[in-house]
Amino acid sequence: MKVCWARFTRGFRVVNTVMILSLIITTAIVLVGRVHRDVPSFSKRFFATMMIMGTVMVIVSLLARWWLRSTKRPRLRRADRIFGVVSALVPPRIADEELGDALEDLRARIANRRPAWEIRLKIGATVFWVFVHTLHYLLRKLAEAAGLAELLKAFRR
Amino acid sequence: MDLPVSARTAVLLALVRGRGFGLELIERVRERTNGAVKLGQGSVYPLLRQLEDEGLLRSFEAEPTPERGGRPRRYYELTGQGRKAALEQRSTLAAILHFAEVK
Repeated sequence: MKVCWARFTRGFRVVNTVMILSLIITTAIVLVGRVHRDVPSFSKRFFATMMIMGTVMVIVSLLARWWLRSTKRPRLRRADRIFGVVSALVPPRIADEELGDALEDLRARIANRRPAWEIRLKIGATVFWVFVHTLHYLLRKLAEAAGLAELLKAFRR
Repeated sequence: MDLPVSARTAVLLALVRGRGFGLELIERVRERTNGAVKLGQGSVYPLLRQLEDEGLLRSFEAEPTPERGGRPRRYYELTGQGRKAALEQRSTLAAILHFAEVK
């Protein structure tokens, strides 16, 4: 039951975040389109576009701050939220294995009262390696699909 | 400093006594070598997948746990071929150490 609930809330958070971001980006694109259609002067168009982009960046950063803030076990929840978003972008096997292990490791580090910089470094390193491994995985799958596996093996030798 | 053994050998030997998952294997190797061999998350997971592709390991998923945010652990264990390779690596290492002692 706990597992189901954890999965549900993680999925809900990811879907929620993706929807909010999509809404903001779509609105910004529509506004920029209208500005380019209705405003004749280049300098005014440029200024209006910059204003829209700046506003979007401020809203996104405020949202990110709100999203990352929590009252209970903030560092672990922050990691869980970041990993939740990363999970949506990488293959399930990599997400389950590497992010799950990292979360378990972080839990142990936080229980041992390790410093905040170490926790941040671990989160950053995990995200970096997960994306590197995803890229590696995708390249391998592409190579297999294109029948290049034999060529790659030969190249390695 | 160079590693006294390769990451591949360390992982194979760490699995001789039983199955384990990625994080556990990193810890197991570090503990058993008194910190002389430290495997990183950047190298262990691709290595485990590579060894599995080579038929030296097989993996399976355990039940998801809330501690991992509802994600399951992936355990690895040696196949027959993998056990044979690990024992060969162990014999080679033992032979090197014996040679060093005699000389």
